[in-house]
Amino acid sequence: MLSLDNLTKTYSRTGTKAVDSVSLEVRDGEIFGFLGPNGAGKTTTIKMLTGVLRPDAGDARIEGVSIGAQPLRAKALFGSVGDNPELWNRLKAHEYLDFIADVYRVPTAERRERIASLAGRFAIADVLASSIGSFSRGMKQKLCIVGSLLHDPRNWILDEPMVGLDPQAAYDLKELMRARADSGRCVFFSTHVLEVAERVCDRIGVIAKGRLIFVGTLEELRGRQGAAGQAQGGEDLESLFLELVEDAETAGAAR
Amino acid sequence: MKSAFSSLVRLYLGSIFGWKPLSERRGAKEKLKLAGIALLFLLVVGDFGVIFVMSSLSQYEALKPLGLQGLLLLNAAILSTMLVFVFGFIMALSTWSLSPAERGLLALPIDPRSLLAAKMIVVYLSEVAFALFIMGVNLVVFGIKEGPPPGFYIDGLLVALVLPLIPLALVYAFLVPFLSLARFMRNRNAILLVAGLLGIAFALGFNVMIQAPLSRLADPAWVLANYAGPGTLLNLVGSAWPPSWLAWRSLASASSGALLEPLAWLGLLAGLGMAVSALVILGLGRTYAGSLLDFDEGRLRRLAGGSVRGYIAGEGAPGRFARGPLLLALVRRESRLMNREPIYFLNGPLIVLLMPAILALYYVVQRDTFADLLPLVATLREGPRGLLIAAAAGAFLGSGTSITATALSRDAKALPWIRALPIPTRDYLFAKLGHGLIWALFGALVGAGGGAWLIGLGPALALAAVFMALAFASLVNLAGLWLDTAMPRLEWDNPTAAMKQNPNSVFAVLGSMGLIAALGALSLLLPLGPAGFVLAYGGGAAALFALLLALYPAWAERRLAALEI
Repeated sequence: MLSLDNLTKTYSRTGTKAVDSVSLEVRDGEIFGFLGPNGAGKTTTIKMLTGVLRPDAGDARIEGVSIGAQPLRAKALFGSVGDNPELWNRLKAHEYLDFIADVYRVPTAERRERIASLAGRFAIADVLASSIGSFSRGMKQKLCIVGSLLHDPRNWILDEPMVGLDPQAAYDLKELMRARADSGRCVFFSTHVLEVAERVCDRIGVIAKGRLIFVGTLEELRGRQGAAGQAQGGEDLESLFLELVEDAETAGAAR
Repeated sequence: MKSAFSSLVRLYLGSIFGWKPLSERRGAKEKLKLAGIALLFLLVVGDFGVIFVMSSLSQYEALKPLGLQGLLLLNAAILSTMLVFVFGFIMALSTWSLSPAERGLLALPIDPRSLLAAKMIVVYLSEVAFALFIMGVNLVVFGIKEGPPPGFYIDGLLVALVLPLIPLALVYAFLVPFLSLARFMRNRNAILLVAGLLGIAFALGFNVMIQAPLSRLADPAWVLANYAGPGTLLNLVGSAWPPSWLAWRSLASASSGALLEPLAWLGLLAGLGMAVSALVILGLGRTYAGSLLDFDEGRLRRLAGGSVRGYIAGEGAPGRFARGPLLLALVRRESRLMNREPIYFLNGPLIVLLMPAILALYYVVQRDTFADLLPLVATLREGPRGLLIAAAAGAFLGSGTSITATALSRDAKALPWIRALPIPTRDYLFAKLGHGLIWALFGALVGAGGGAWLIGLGPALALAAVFMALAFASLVNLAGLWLDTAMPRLEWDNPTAAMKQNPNSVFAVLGSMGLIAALGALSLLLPLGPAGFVLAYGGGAAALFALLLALYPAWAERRLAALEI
């Protein structure tokens, strides 16, 4: 379970308020999609949630453990996939996975078993001896995904995980997310691909200009927009999303 | 609106040299940085200037009695064009393809000839500095001694500006077809390795070239045979290598006060240079762009289907996918990432290997001079001087790798990833320090141990020298890490910027050299014996290291947490 409580961040160098009082809870057993246009604050929120960035105010908790107060304990409770897989091109894939497994103190037998299973699932088992620098972006993304699950975390946090993946890998990833949620684990991911969110998520959160403007199910979003006299019945997420963001931007401009 | 070509040149200048216009350098930090770079530039130029001035003066003094002092100018012209050729070759090779982002330029409507021309201009700008420096030194030495008319200096300046044109055009005339044919070279690793090895070979060769004649210049017969004869290397190269021959003719006629003749030779040199450059650009532009197309294309090594399971089970390498201590995993990661990036390795750990090789070469080349010094070396065995010299050599070597002073900067792109992992900040940073200290120990052992052996110190003093060197190098490594934690260079698109162009590395290396020099000077004033110096310098450095080590983690943790990445 993940909880974000009043998370706020202003970048000191630019003075930009990237995230403004974001609070939400992601429950066990659900896939939560974090949506928003480019520059809305998705990555900044995830960076604060994963302890990469220190918030100006508020806190995030993983299984009730504060990332600010007990960062090491909290970080051990999730696996994360960042928004940039361009990492450590000089390492070989097996060295990267070994490093991650050492960080999470995964015992030898378990790490071998999980690597065999996950690398096989994402079709990168035969390139484990290769240098990461020779990988395509999609293969690097797959490697990051495999690495993030080596310690079988209860919470899985992914930032734009579908970018660069081929259709088979994207399908496998969605299946894996569903399987983990169904087994009682928590999946939180950001995306701007609305079709993915529509198909996979149990609940979504929409962020625009740093403010969380909606949290709920797709049906709740339809209901809310319908009540506001904007949505027609059966509208897809794209239309609802655009309306919602437009409303938020209009309201922001009026403020 | 700027033209696409000028924007391209500015882009390359920014990417290769981190250059940006003065108008964009606002704020006290930027100005301070600029002043620091200028000071460093002066220091480096001054340092090399002394070497070249001494060499030039020695040659002048040897040639003057034979009436051959004019050959100093020919020698300078040959040296300039040769250095430009060698450095230009290395520079052209190492800037062939800067980053994957540069390959994006190929998708833009830019004439391939503009790509090559822009790259050649940037390499020219770096090489013209060499030509100006070498020609300048020799012109000033010749000018002071011979008092030529002012036109000589103007001619010399113009000669230096056009001198690199032909060598650089020839460099590209060779490299463009070579790289388009040799697929194995269209790879940053191969290029950096070749360029690095060439650089090392050149550094060693240059030392021999500067050192070898110095002890022979006092012999007029040798000078006559090696400078004046028709079959001498100087004359052969001078007459067969048009740029230096034309430059020399222009300078020689300018020194005699002629007006039109120097201009004619200069015009010929400039015209020839521009014609050859234009030919290369027009003829090879497309081939150059073609060589960038599949640059750095990775090749996957796939395991055979049946061997995957065994590979994961650790067959043949039981340590693969086997649990190990976190600190070891972190140190191993540091070491792998450094040693596998050629630009990091060449500017880091290799220093510890290269410097002793250069010193050994000095010894071989200057063996006669060293033989004369043996009685003096024997006196170093008494008192603390031998100990201090050996310790200084080890301290210099152990603190010269820049490993810790760039440790965080090199990790810039990985920092968000690292921070999302449950890695204690202390372990993460201590792994970086540990990696630096491994090479510091190696440097201290080679430098201080080797120095003690050369001087003939006993085992106890040799051990003391290694201890002093290690204590000092450890302190410098920790200070370097502290510096890079305080001011890491986190935004770069080219690993050169993280290591070679990182001011922290320069501060650490120059700082340690300055400190060694200052301690050397202080030693002359302190009435201490060997034990006293071991206690004062070795013990002092070790105590300071321990103190900083105790304070560093808490501070670094706060600093890292505050970094906005």
